[in-house]
Amino acid sequence: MNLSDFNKVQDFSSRRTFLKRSLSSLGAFAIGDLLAGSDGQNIWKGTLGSGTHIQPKVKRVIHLCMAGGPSHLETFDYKPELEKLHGQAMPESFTKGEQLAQLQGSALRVMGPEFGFERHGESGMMINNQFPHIASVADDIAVVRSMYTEQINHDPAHTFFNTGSIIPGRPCMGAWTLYGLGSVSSNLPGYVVLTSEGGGQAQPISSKQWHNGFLPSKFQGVQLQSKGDPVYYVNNPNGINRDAQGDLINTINGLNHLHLEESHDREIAARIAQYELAFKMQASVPELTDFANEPQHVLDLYGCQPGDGSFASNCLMARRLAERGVRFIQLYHRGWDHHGGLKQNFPVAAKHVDQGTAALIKDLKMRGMLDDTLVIWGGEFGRTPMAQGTGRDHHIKGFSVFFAGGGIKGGTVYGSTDELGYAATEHPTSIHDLHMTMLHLLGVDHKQHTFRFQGRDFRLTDVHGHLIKGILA
Amino acid sequence: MQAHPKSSRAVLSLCGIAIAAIAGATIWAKTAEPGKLPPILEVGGNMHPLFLHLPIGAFMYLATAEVWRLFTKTKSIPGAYPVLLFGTANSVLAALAGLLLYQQGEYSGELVDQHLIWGVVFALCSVIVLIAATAKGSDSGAYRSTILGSAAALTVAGHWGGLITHGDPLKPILASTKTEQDFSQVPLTSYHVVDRIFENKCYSCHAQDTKQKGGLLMDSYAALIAGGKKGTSLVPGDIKESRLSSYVHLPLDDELHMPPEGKPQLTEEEISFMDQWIGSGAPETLELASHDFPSELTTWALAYMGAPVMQQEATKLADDEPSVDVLAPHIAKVEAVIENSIFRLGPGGEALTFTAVNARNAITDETLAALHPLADSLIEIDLSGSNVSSQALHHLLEKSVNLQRLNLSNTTVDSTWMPVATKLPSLQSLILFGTELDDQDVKQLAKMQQLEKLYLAGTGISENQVTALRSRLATAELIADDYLASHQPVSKEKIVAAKTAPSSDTDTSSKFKNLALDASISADSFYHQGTESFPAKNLNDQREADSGSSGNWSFWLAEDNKTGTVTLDLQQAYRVSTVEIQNTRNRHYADRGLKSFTLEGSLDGKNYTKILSSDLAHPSEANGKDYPFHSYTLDKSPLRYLRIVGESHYGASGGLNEIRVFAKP
Repeated sequence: MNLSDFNKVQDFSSRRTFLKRSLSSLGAFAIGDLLAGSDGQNIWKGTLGSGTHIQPKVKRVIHLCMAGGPSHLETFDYKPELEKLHGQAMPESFTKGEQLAQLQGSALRVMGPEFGFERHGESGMMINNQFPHIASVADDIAVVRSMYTEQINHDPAHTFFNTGSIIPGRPCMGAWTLYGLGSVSSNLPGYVVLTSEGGGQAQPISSKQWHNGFLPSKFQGVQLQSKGDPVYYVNNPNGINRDAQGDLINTINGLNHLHLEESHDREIAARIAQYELAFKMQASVPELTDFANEPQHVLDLYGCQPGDGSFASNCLMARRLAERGVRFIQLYHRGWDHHGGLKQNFPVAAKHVDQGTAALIKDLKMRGMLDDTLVIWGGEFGRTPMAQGTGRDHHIKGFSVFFAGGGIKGGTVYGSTDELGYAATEHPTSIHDLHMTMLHLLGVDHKQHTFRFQGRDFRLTDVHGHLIKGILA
Repeated sequence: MQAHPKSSRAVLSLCGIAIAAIAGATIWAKTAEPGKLPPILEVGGNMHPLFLHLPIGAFMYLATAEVWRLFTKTKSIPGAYPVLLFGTANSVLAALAGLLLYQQGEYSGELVDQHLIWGVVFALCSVIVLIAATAKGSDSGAYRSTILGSAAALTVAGHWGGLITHGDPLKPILASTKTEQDFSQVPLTSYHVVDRIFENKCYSCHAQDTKQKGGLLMDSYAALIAGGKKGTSLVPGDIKESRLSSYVHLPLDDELHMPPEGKPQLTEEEISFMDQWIGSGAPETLELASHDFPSELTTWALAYMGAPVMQQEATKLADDEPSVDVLAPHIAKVEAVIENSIFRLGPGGEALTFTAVNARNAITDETLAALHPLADSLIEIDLSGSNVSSQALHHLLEKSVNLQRLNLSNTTVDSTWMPVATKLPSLQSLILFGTELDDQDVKQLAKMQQLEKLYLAGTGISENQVTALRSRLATAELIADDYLASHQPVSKEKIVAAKTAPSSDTDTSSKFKNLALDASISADSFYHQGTESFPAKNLNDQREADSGSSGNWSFWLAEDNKTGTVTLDLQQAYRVSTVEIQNTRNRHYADRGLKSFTLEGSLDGKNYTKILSSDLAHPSEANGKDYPFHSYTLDKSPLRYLRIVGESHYGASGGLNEIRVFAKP
């Protein structure tokens, strides 16, 4: 531990407080004391506690990740040329010298859109017929058709989408957000992840996608279970009541505090914070999952049974988490990797996410919460205009993502791909731009929000990132 | 000392000539038309700054010598006469040069007039002193009194001259007593910063009461645009064309480099800021915070304008010691009761949001009372789902004068707070989801004209009342229970039956009024032959795609070999957001239609500004299927007239089917 790290132990208050605590920590004292501290130091506060860089538009982010890579040509990017050339050889001008995934060495044929598109909303944006619910909120979303990314396989692409780097080990965007703005809720994790499957082979996702990298560990994402109890063993064992549990946690943390004083290991500080949070979650999670107070018409809006493990149930949970002060919520739906059987499987995947996505947006809107939430919907990449058997292969040069919420101009289409939907031509938008815009809306200047590690000031956007002005209100 | 008799006569004659010359030159300079002099005289005029410094030294020396003589009772000052000769000769030359310079007409104003008068007075005084010294000797009373008198005149003349060239030397003291613009009340704009740069580096020559070099004033935005003798100094958006920037970037020894060599130069940050400001369109009233400047530059600008130190320090990470601020102790008090309830927004952390999310069942009146010291910094209060009492809410709202957003979802407060909320001028968003309101409360809500968003879903308000409220709150977006009904998904049957939509490349709108329908449209020419005619009125007849029948077609055509220009008068100014154009191909002939055009807009029908240029595809099928509307987005600046100037056409002439114009909010 070098001197700079020593100085950075902000979790730990003054020596005076520690002495006060440690003398009584082996006894029982109110857990609130541990949290507030005699000088008001709050361990969940971010670095921007005394003011954000700019005025924020949103205070939370809900990322709906369509894991596997949904085909933009069957979601938001209508290409009539693609339809016309269906079945013909893919013009070489597009693919010559380009990186291909599994289609390497194959003869490339054009595959027209499998399903039709319709105009929706006052803006008349073209949305695929497989998403009738999302289409009904067309006026609240801003579609970027010209996204592009750098990695053509799932794991590195997810790493890149979440951390801004293709090399694993850097903090994810949720951790960066928490590191800057801190948690709002003191009873629930500041960053929650939920997953669901359906509609295609479930490509793996891993917890490194919501990891904190070199940022303090307390800012990592916490995955809750989508089916059944979100948190296992949230209840106390038989014979232990809440007070007894509190005593146990206090004692353990008291010992941990002593250890922390000796070693100043940040991981211990994180552990202390997590134990306290876990204790609080024992009370807050049952309340979170008490869907009895959720009226039927809301459940009908989402079209789910709460806790059934579906994407829609996760969306409902996301709204409840948002209401309870969770800052960063990530929903992964695994099932979009349609290398084959697009016609049969894509509608299944679409049906899984369509109603839940729209319900979330509508529900937030009716509660006035859409104004201070940023919703991001999209996958880690798109799919090829060329056929791969009866499906499409991975594609990185152009795909679609939509945004909704505070600071976003609804009913907007920004950027476009070429006539076959191959490459982003108008306003190419990188993942760094997405990160920068997200931070901007949260009130964070991506260039100032850095962390010194290995001798250099890292930031989420590395050395890139421009504002996606076209989607901002 | 007595001058040599022979030379003293020569000197006295020269003095006489000098007086005549000065008098004559003064009269000439004052009465003649200012204008171009022959170069030699212009150069002579430019020698004024050279000559004027010499008599200053000489006379000041002589005056000081006399004072010294007074105190030490010395009999005589050795060498005084040659110094006097030198001083007077140069003062005469300075006066003459000065008058020549004056005649060039570059200088004007009160300062110059005073300087001229006193300069001439001094020059004449200096000659008189020389006469006195020559005739009576440099120890005479006549000499000694006149030398002191002329030194006085010199001081006055020199003061006016100095004011012209260098500005008021007492300015720093005066400036600090002047009331500084209070940027805590008035938002700090980028132009304020640029103006401060000009004040520091340019006003000495380019403001009111200065010599206004090059005829350029820089002390107001309009003056920058108006420019000087060489033309405008500011072309918003163009650094190369703006002399403000290009002159600064010239090499220091370039004649045109500004500020002139020897004067304080602009610092790197000042240049960088000015360039960024010009490059981003040189806005006059855009807040500094709204620009996309590099953050270091913004930080520098804040410091440059003397922003409170705390504002700059807040941009450092909280690793450093937090700087002391007035809000912190009050915030700590509140957070000791409810964790994570106060969040600070903006670089100074001066805008606060309060959320009750972590103690929803424990919001007592005391808790809210703890917020009172912070109330005027609160821009958002979120009491959703809490047990807040109506009374506590009422008291808090009374003090929260800067409140922008109020969330009372799922609370059980009554409506006593509503009259208070009506008086909050910045209240933009009010969320009452799931509260128990009734139609009685609608009256109160209707008074909140300042609202931009109002959320009333899940309340007890009836549909009729919601409709009525919508019309009363014309500028607000009202989301109520009918939101779901109006955002139903497309039915399953329709999905199955739907085919791919026509290949129109536009996003059309049906809900907004087509302003072209009420417009009067004219064209510079239209084709007519026999019974067939294709006038401009076809452009807003709501018939499309080359439809119609003989003698009555849906499209306009220009005369043969003409591209055509169409003008629409919308009858009043609108904030036009969209223009949609449908091209023609003259039915199956496919021999006419616009190929490219420029769209222009105007408020007065006389002065048009270009909005955009575009190509237009030729409709490719003559069966009514392939006539897309091409949509163009405008920037919503007010327009009454739109003009489509055809640049090129297909085939025999230009033409169009239909034009639509929208002003979407």
